[in-house]
Amino acid sequence: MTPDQILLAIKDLQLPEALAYLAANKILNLTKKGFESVRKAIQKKTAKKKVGFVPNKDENTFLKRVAEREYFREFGSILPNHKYSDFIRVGYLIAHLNKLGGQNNRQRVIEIRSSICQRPNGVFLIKIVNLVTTGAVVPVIDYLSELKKQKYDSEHIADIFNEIMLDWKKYAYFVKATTKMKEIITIIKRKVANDQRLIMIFSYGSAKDQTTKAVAQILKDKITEAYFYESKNNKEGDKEVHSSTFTLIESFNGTTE
Amino acid sequence: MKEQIKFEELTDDEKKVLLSAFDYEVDKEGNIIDALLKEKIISEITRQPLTLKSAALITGSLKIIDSNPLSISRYLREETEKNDS
Repeated sequence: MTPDQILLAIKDLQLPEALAYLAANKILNLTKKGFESVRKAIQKKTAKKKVGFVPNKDENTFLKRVAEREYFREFGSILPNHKYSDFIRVGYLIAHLNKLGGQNNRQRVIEIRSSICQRPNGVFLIKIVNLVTTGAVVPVIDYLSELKKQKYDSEHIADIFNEIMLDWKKYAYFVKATTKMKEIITIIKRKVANDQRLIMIFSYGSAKDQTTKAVAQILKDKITEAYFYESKNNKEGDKEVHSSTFTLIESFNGTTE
Repeated sequence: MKEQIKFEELTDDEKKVLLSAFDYEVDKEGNIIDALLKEKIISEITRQPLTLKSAALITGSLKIIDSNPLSISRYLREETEKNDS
């Protein structure tokens, strides 16, 4: 087959079809002498459309569509083009793969998580990924969003986000199904006594019962009057999570911690 | 509004054709080589050589990046930044 014949054959084809035609005809090297015109034709087709040729089309199309998620968009509006948004996007992918289940997806989750853990500062970065998979992303972004409404600048909000992530165990409390109501009350009271700017209590499945009872008792005892309180169920992560969030009112005036 | 990227898959042979059109070749281990510099292409994120199996080939002027989710996320963010500015 001459280069002219090839050129004629691929002339009206889209790039993937043209590449398929060349590969099927075992024309794998366009740097060979005489193939300059074919090479130019492929370069021209490459410049025409924005396509990413990837090993897994579905996975990458999912990553692209994360941009449509409400909380991902909200994070982007609070901290525009922040590099941590990459980890939040990957968190959505992991949550999606976990929801799909199956051996291949589970293996893929292990690979992705391990590649992040192995990066410099991996322990911190995986916490950002976990924000999405645990559903904790919702109250955290709600809080950052409130700070933005109070006219804090992006730099200050980014600092607070970092602080929350670095001291995650201080701000977030995940209630186990076996945790007693009394213990939940004690832990919340301790956090309130420390004037923490943000207290997030998360529970899944049956743990929700004793958590809501404990929070109801806390509210009844009126020990959280310095706080805004909000509770939500969300399905942003692997499974539905119930969150109870206490936000210190003073923290919006910059007078705490 | 700028055109949004679409993701597709290619066979190894199809990728080789595309790479050769931009002066890249593939060595016996599957690493992508800059044919002019005779050097392996290294991922900016993982610092590992990019292979035919692991690379994402992005059209335009042909950008070669690692296809791990973090690299693709970074690419999507940077594209959004460019489109916004």
